[in-house]
Amino acid sequence: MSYLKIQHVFFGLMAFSAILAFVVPARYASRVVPQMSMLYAPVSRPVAGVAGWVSNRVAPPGMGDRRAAADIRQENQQLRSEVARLRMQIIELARRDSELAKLGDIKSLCKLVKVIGGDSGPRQSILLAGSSLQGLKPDMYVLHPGGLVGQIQRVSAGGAQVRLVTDPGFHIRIRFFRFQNGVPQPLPGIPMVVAQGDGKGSLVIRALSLEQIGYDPNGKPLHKKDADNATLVDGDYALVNDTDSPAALTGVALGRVSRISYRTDARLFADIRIHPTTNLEALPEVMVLMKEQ
Amino acid sequence: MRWLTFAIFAYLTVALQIGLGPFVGYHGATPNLVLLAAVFIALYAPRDAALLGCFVLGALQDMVTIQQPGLYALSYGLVALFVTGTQQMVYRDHPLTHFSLALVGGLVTEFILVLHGYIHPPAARMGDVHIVLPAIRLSATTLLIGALYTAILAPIAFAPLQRTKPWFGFQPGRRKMRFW
Repeated sequence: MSYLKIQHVFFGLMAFSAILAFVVPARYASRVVPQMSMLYAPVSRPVAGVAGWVSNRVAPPGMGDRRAAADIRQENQQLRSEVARLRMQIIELARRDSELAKLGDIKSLCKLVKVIGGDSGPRQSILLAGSSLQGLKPDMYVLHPGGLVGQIQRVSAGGAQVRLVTDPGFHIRIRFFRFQNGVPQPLPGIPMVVAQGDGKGSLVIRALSLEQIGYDPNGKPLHKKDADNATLVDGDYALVNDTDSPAALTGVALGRVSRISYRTDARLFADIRIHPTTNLEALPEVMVLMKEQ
Repeated sequence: MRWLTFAIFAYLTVALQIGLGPFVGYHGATPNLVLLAAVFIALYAPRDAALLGCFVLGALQDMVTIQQPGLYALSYGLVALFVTGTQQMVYRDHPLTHFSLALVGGLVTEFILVLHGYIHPPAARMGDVHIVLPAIRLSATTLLIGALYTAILAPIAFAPLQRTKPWFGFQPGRRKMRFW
């Protein structure tokens, strides 16, 4: 008799899983699942630390930037000085205007949270050592010093899970910029467009035609001398420019263009891949945007 | 089967998967250590305990992924059904058995994930700039590489696990599992 009951329990659980997986919409199904990721932190964080150390020794992350080191250092120096200049201007404006006093370094709006580990499946997410008890809420954006990491997908007293920008379920509106003399310049003629995670460590933009980004149907640049920055090239920056997201996110970097090709299902349209500046799944800690302004 | 040992084993496996996953991937494909644990339990535990144990492993993995809840619980339940059915027909301690069963388990899991991805794609079709963008689905190729990766690791992972069989207290199959 007990043997039959165990079989019934098992197949009942299997039927429940099948219904939960294939029938119940995701936004309701995720509410059923408790978030207990922090329970694994005592093991997963030391393991990730050791694995990260070994990974950096055996296969250090590639630069992805083929420019000469001297050029990169020069650009870094220019960017640092430009950021410092802009920051001083903002501080001065904030001091003068009481409304602008609410502006400031985005870090002051954020809370530092440690990362427990990555997704246990094929999706792109990270688990945070933070919970609703510390003020974390769903749909809060998460950042790192190099740009946007993702958005909190679900959170409870037991932990929080962040959907990375490279996950297929993530999308945000961006604009392309190019740094000239340390100043980010928008690329004229290329409108704001939605970037989606492709599930393979990058984001993809598929709504722009080749002509819009400065190429003919054969993939050759339309403008021989790109004095007006009308041609999108590898290395251009994708910065957040989305009215549906908090104003503090405007201008936050998403990544750099790593590949431009045409869509296989629509050859007149471009397939633009944007690669984040770092491996988002291997971040040791992140900043959660707690306040929008 | 001793459920306390199983609970510790499940906890360590899921924690290792979370911690190691971002660092041991190959072109986006990561090994599934929890699947290896499920195959190990299904291969050596009595049928009743194996079925429930594998289901629990899948449910634990569902809690730490943004994938739709229930997918891994369903997948590992099916894997357990298959593996427990072959317990008497295979050499349980042979590395080729470990590789084959892990590969089949990976393919079953991949099938469930791909099927779900076609019915409910992670990125549904959407419109932008007067253009309809097609849905983005999980890459079946990446999942297949992950299944192969996991299967290759199976003989390596099972070698030390086999030494821990006494800790689990696997009873012969003729004894029925009782909770009371």
